[in-house]
Amino acid sequence: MVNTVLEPQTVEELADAVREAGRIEVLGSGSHVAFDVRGPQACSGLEDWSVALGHPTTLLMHRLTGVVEHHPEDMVVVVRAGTRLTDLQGALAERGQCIPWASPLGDIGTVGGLLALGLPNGLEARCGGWRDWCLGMTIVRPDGRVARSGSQAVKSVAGYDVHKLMIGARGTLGVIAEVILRTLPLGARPEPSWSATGTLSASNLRIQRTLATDFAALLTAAKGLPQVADEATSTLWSADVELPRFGHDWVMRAGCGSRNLEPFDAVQTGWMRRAKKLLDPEGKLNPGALEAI
Amino acid sequence: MPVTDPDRRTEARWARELESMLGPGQVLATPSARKAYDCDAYTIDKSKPSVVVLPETTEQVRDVVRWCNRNQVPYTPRGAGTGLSGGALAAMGGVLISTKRMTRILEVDLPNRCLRAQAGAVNKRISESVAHAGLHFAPDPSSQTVSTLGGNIAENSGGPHTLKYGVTVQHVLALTMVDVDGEIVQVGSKVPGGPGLDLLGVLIGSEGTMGVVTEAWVRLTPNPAKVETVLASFATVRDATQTVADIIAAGTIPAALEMMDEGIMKAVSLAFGLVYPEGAKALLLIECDGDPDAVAGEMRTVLDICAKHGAMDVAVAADEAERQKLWTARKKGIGAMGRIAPTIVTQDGVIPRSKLPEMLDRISEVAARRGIGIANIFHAGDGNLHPCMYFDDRDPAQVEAAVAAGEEILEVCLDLGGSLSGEHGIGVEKIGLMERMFGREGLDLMMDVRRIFNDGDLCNPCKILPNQKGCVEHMRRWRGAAW
Repeated sequence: MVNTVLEPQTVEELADAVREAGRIEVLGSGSHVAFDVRGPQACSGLEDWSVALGHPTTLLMHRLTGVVEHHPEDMVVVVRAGTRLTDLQGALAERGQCIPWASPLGDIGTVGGLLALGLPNGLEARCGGWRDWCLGMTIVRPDGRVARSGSQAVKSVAGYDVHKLMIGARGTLGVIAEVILRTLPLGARPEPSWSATGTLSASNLRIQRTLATDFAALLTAAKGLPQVADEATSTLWSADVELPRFGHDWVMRAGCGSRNLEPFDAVQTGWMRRAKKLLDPEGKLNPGALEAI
Repeated sequence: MPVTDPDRRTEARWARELESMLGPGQVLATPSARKAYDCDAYTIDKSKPSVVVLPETTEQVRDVVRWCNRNQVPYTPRGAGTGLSGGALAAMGGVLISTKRMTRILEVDLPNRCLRAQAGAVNKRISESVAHAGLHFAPDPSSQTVSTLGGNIAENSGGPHTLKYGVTVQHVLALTMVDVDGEIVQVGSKVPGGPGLDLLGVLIGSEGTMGVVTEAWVRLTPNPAKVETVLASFATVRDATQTVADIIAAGTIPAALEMMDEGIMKAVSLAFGLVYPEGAKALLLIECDGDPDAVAGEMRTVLDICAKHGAMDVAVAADEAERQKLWTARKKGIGAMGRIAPTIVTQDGVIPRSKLPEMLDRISEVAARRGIGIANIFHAGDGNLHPCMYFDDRDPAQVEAAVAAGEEILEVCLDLGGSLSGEHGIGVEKIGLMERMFGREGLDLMMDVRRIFNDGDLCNPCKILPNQKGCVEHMRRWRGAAW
């Protein structure tokens, strides 16, 4: 049996696709596929997970693309989630603007995929990250309802910031269809001040962030590894080997389930599971990813 | 259903039980105390709590929440009561949990630039406590000399300097809160940005509807090496708004970019004797801060753009005393409005920045048609308006006109692609416009998100989301209490 593949081109088509489908795996460009959003069963290789649970539908986002609105004078852009970051940066650059994202992996991936993963970036200390730039979203819920969150205002406290919950949620709570982002003038974009050694790849990546006071010890332990170290946020991107852990720190790495989504404490994990149960009661979207924590 | 209309004997029993649990002097239940706590700084709707409690620790808050759960009594958290949308209104009566005695700074971690404080700690005091180390807490709402950390977290407060430094959510690392089950829980981490859901991002700004925040770890920001402040006056509002647009478009992000119109200038002149050039219709307060070389460059850009748009008078502060003087009109502007009318209600809509000139025209049109006065003072850099409606609240017709004008202005904000609130929150004030902004589907999603943390109807009921069970019939009562 072959997987069903859906490639919606509009938000309406996306909503129809999600409403009709059973279990869905959402895929952007596949650039960060090593950060496997599926659960441990899918990654174990010990059993044919797809056969056991029935084939999921693959939802390819690569045709839901393009800038919907760009208001350079307001420094706000509305973009469809399947748009590649390089394409967005290109469109913004024509009007002298950018998203101040600097990943050691380069400008790979789609806007929706990058938001869904919520990885850190090398300009974070000075320019912030997705949770700071994302002003709103159009979200397709598992039952096909289309909900809007946020607005084009650069500052808003109206209602709950539901879109913040989607950042880093790996597509498990809703499918990000459109995103409202604040932009930065190109001239105001700093160069990352990280120090880089060797070459990193998304398939063998480990990201660790510590308290500032622990970062020197982490760097000592990571000596000689291919790495990018950003002292401003105490973040180390490196090849994936065992490195020491420190109080309050966190680690994300390529791989499956708890390898890339290490549990917090029991209370926070409980709330994350509760969020999944309330927002995706039938467990349709990217099954496994949050249940695995 | 919660107990909403208890008789006096029941209320007296509640007060006795809570006092025996907390301690003498930690429960207020006299008629005058209940009246004093019947609203926050949004005074149009009022509702008295049955009892006000003054816990001193997280554990005491937990005990109060558990007591409320056992007795099915609604509870509402409250900081300094400076909120402008009724977030701390005891909408269904019950217990008002004041954090006013939870003011301690518990831990300071200078090497990691963070600090843990109780929810009742006053915003300004947090900055003062680390001033010796050259650090401060960046969110600076105009109420910062009294407003509390817990209140700032509930409202996701901003302030003049949030244009460059972000609002409260950018500066809170972790929270301790008492959840609706009466458990003490921690959310977030001293190391931000970790994997999993951004629970903190949703809790901050949830207006006290998802539990009672009792402590928080906050980020500390280094004080800028150099600060330059300019006050420029313009012959037309359009010159001033165009200056704002050009400064932003030039890629300069000032620390603050604030605008005041003629109405505010008049009030400030009356109150503080400040003199502005003849014929000036708008003031811009612009502050650049950071590395001295960068500040010098930004200042050149700012002054050039001001000149290009015909600034009439440009005052650059030579020292801190002069800087404070230039800030007077902005910081005390709304207070000074008290000279002009007995009642001031401040709105808080946000629009895309480029729509400022059009928006200001629409506001004056609404004011003229509704027959009330409106002066404007606002965070121009991020498009956050604060139209101040001034009127006499002893006249019900004027109150009605002001409420209608406020709603009309917010509808214009939504038409222009903006938001109902930039920093004051929805509370009870703007609840009627939520569906207009988010649609039924948007509100349904918010309701599901609320249920992650709060699936009951006791914790700060009747706020943010319209049509909550049992709230509609109470709305008239709140309004009646004010008129």
